Amino acid sequence: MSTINQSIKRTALDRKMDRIRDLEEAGKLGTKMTNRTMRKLLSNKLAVAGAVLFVVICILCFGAPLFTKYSPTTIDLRARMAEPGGVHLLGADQMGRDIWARMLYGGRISIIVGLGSALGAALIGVSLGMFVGYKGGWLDSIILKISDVFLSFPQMVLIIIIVALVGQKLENMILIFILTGWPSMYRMARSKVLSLKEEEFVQALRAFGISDLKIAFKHMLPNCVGPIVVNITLSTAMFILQEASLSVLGYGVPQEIATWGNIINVITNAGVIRYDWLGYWWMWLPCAVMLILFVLAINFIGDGLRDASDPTQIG
Amino acid sequence: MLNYIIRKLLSMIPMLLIITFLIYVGVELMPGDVIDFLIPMDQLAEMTPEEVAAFKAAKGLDGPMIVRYFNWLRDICRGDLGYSLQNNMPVGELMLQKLPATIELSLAALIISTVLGIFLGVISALHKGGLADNLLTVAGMIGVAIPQFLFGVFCIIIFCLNLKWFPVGQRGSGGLLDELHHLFLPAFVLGIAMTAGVMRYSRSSMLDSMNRDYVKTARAKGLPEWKVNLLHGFRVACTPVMVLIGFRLPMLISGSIVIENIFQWPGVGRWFTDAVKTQNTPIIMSVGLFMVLLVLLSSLLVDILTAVLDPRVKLS
Amino acid sequence: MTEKRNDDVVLSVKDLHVNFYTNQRCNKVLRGVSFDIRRGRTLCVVGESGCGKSVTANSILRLLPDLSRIESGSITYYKEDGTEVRLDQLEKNGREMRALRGKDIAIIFQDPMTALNPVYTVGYQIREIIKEHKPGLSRAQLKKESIEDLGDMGIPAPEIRDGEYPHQFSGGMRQRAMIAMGMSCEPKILLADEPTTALDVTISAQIFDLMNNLKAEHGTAIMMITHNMGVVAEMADEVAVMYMGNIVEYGKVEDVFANPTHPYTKALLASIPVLGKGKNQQLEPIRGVTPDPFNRPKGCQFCPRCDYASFVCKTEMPDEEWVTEGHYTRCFNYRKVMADGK
Repeated sequence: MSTINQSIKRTALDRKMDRIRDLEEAGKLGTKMTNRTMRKLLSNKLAVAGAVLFVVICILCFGAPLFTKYSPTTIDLRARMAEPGGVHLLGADQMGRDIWARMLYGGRISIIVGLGSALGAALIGVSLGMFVGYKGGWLDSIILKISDVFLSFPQMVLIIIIVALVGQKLENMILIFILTGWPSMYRMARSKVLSLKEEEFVQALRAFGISDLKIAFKHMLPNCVGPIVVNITLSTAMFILQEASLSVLGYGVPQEIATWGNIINVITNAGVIRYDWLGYWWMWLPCAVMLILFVLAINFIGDGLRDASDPTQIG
Repeated sequence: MLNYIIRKLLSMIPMLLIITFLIYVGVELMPGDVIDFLIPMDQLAEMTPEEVAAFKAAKGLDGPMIVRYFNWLRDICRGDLGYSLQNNMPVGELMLQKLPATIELSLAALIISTVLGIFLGVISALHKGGLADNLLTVAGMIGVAIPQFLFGVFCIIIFCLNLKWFPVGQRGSGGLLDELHHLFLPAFVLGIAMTAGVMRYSRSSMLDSMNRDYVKTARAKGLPEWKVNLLHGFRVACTPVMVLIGFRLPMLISGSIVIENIFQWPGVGRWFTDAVKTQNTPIIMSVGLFMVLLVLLSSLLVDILTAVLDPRVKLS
Repeated sequence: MTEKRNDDVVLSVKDLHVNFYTNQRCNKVLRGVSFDIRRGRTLCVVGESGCGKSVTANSILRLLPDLSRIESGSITYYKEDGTEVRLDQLEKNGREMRALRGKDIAIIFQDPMTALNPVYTVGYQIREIIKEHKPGLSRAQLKKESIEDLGDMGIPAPEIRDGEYPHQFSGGMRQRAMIAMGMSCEPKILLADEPTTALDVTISAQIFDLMNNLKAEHGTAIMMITHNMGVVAEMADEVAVMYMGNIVEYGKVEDVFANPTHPYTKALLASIPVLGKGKNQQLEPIRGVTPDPFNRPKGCQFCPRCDYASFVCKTEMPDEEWVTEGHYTRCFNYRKVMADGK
């Protein structure tokens, strides 16, 4: 049809535009009828890759007995420091425990700690934010103050003090993460509710005399699902990282339970690097890679969800 | 403005009281008797209960908790942070020894992450969808996904042990150059997670700003692109980025606890973890107070900064 | 179009095609648009939202978004010294284009709240454009000019207003500041993209007075974009009616209003209430809906909604046809439309 002005230099973008124009003129571009959020999520290659990685690692960890015949806690002194490639796929640690088995079983604990804490924190934070934030009044200001107190601490400082207080136990770990994690969820939900409160549909529901509880959870909650889900995924990643950091400082899940943090922890002693141990790479590096991949996968998913659930973004 | 700052500072006092009391209760409730950490086991076995009581009295460990809390509070107001239970050194003095190292490290990390994060974020936004943008986005995600201590370990293996560019751990002690030489790697590692966060946020903030009408107005005025990007696009985008940085300061402090341990940096963070292990109440209390104060002050700083950067914001 | 070039013409757009490439689709927004802008006259471009009015204005200043481009056609600016500049061939944000922006051709946007940068004072934003095009002025001179410009636009206490931020201005005052900014370098052409849509009626009347004064005093050529036929009647010397990326009728406002030759123009005129006719007047909305830009009718874009459509309309787009001197239409059946009268 038309020719572009020749005097302007043609760029890669121009060629791309030409291609789209030709396809359009040939009538090959049509409107797709699938769900917009799904379509955007699927067209985000990183999010898809993240989801695949997430599923693979979860299957490996939760189906651990299918992928290894060893137990993560069986000590075999003859296999101490065994190098990878022998009977032990990824070698064994200083007590002769199979690294591959420890990684898989440890992953279970790490994932449960991360996901469980994030879900717990979301449950408390979001329900408080939704209902109390919507009702307002003295209860709201008290909870706001309490969350202020929590948020005034650098999280690590707070966690360390509480761990020292209640002792290092797996259940305690999850409870502590929930305790330190709910305030930010609460703040997020509350600010969302405060803006939704001004929307006309909420005003209308109130005028109809619908109960506050019903307005908050049945009508407002579905409007906040996007940010909540994004927040849960990103918090899961954060808690997994924190579990690992705490292990290094000696405040994490008890040493005898295999978690990703505890496995990697062989290279440090109470926070100080044991340089002579770095050489036994199979004892910490594969697990570190698995941890990083898992956190990366969650971040990819969370990011994709954020983009897809944001209706203001075109694309 | 001054009015606002004073009012804000006054409103921090009840908050600080609540928080310090909570820490105090927490530390008191910790399992085990402090005595066990203070006197070697065999010595303790030989002491009579009277001797132990006398020892406790000398250290200020007797009396009901609430009294001890208010005693501590009174001393704080006089500038007396108490004595380390371990070696009887005044905590204030020890604090002054440890503080410069931590401030130096955090400040360097803050500067690195702010400058690098904003710069890369803006570059990414201006080349949206291009190769640089995609690479930086993935790099940023990896930066957030690596636990800080592991990143520290990797950096030590690569830059200290193999390439031997930087010394392993410890703080420099001779001249500015040596100090910087020791400082760079821990500060970089500490700042990396924050850098990634700032970068992503700068990118989206910049993209948002560049889509606004005033950017089009600026172009319609005939301004050159760098002025459009910098004076109009970036100038508006930087307010929310500053707010983010302010709110992430606690994260930086949390990180410094880990990094100071990994790099054997003689700062407050390492001192704190050691103190928690030995239940050294005066130190835990002082450090807790200091950290909380730092967080509250930084949020005040964020308020002031927003008001300065955005004329629409009124402090009230 | 075979009209001899008039000396008064300052900007001439010929057969302009613009495509948008968002969402991996190609949207042909402008499909051959031609018109002239003349010194000391106002051209009103009228049409419903999405018809390409704003895109036309933005193409002239080359302010189109990244994922769009001028496919073909020409935009020629006739400088006072007689030279011609092909705006469509200049580099988008290049030096030559920038030299013209703000100095020779200025634009006023629809919403003065978002078009002014919230973090700078109004005075600074006016001085910014003066500084760019008249380098070498001292601070004091610049300040004097910006205050004068604000005062000229009827803003009271301009010395104080100069140091205030946009959020401290009311909507009407903001638009005045916007016009002050646009007029600060005395441009030859002022493009106004729905300048009063965000304002109430009395304020917009004041803004129109202001623009008419500028036209009378400086001989500024004005291209005014609107969707309001009332504004056209009040402001226009010439009018261009746009529909789905084409100018379907163009001419002097008297001619077009007296003898609408395109069914769309006619329908538009029939759909506005006339003051004084009482509340029982018969208003006729245009039947049907605007077609999806990705699924356009094959022939005349208005065909599916047109009462005069004939067989040929379904398959072919009518060309521009001269009705009288300076009045053209894009309709095969314009004689029938005319014969029907108003």
